[in-house]
Amino acid sequence: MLLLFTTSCARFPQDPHRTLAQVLASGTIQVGVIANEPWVTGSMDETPRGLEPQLITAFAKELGVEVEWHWGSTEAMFDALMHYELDVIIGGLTKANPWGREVAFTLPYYTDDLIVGVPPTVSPPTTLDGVVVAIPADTLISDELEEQGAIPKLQEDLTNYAGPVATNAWAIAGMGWQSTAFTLRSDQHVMALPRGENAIVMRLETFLLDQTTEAQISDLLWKAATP
Amino acid sequence: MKVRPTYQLPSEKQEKLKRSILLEWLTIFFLITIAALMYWTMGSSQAMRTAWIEDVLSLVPPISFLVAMRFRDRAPTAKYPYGYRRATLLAFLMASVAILVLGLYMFYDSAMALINTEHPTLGHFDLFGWYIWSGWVMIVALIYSMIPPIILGHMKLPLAQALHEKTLYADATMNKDDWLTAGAAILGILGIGLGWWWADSVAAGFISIEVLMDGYTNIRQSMSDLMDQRPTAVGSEESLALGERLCAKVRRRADVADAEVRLREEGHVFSGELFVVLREDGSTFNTVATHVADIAEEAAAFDWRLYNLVVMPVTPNSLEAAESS
Repeated sequence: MLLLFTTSCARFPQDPHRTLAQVLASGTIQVGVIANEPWVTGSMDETPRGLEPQLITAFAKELGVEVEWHWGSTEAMFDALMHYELDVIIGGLTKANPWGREVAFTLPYYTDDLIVGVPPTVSPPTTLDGVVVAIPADTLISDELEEQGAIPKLQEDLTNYAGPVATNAWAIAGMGWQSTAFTLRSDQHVMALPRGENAIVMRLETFLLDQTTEAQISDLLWKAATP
Repeated sequence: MKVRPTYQLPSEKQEKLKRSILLEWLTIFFLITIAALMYWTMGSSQAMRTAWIEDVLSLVPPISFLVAMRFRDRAPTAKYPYGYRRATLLAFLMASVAILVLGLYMFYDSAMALINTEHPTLGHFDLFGWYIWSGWVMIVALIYSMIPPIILGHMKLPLAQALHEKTLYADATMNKDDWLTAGAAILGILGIGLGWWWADSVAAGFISIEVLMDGYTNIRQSMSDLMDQRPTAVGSEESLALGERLCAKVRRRADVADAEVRLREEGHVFSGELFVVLREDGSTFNTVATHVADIAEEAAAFDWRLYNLVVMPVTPNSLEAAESS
């Protein structure tokens, strides 16, 4: 037993399907990308941009391998992952994604808080009850706002807006606005790998834990969101 | 209506019973800490989930025992002239059936995991900001889950023997053998680490068989408690031959020509009927009653577990008839 422990600690745990070993041997990591701004941006047949392609590129560099990108629909990507045709899927996936039952998710590497923020000149509200809160386009947050009694209002352009806004904490920080104590939702972001391939799961998690910080990711997200 | 007298445990046994009750409370306490720790570290391992269910289920016997302690010494009432013992035995039977059914479900679940080739994912575990492979954390939790039950099981076994408490005995045996469950789960997790995805569901299957066997043992125990079996030894199905020895003793009395006995187990006590043929000495009805009371007193003193033994004077013919049947 002790021998088992001492000899295999370094290679513990291993992949039943040898995913990590194959990535290292072939010198290529097969990455499935699902468009989801600003996590993954770009379009078919382009090299993807955004936060997660940057992270994966750095991870591949650490492993000493090349990245082969594969664009596709969610369904096609997960199907390929379940058949070990892909090694990783990125696409702004969160821990709550129901595909998590079929594949392996990494530990959440970033918590994306959706909060209420106000411009620097406006004093933050003490309650949301009856307050009109603007929602930028593509932010799904009106249910959470209504639960707190706020009145959601769609606002395409925030340039000259001077009231409370519900959006991502990194966007509030990026615009130089002040955040309030009202957190509406927290999305825990993960990446997907083949189920049970524990060696590559551990390797990617170690990379995400050691090489990224929340502040750095918030910054990268803001840069990816503003062209 | 004349209800049964309340059973009085001999004073030297009372101390042992108090100790058993304390040990059962400790068992519940440790099982809760184990279940909480296992739940926290569980992850997606099938073996770990099965071992967790097994630990939660092993709460059933100590809880049954403690509930029984509260109810069974209640004095019999006009509505329940034979007392309350059976209510707790029924509860134990139902709980045992539940354990057996859960064991079947767990076996099905692990067999399906094996058939569907489910690969358990074990990544990092966040141990208060310190990240290590979750398999190691699970193994530590499983090692912890082995220790208190083994110690408590060994402490409870001799008490169960001394008090003739078969529920306590079944519980102590389950605790004592609990290391098998934890050991199987540890091997399953080490197997996952070596890349053997199947090790997890195989370990889970083994644990579910353990649960099935626990359920079977408990059902057998509670059924035979309810079925009024003859007095048998704790931990084996061997007869104590108590009836034969009691008869031999009563037959030696000067006022008894012959005697037969019919005893049944009611959990930790024995009850039944003693049939005696009194010697013809021209007794009046009142002196027969005096003899009977005297025999009853002597018989009750024969063994501490004898409770509410009824002495019945019969004719030699009816005693023979009873024997031949």
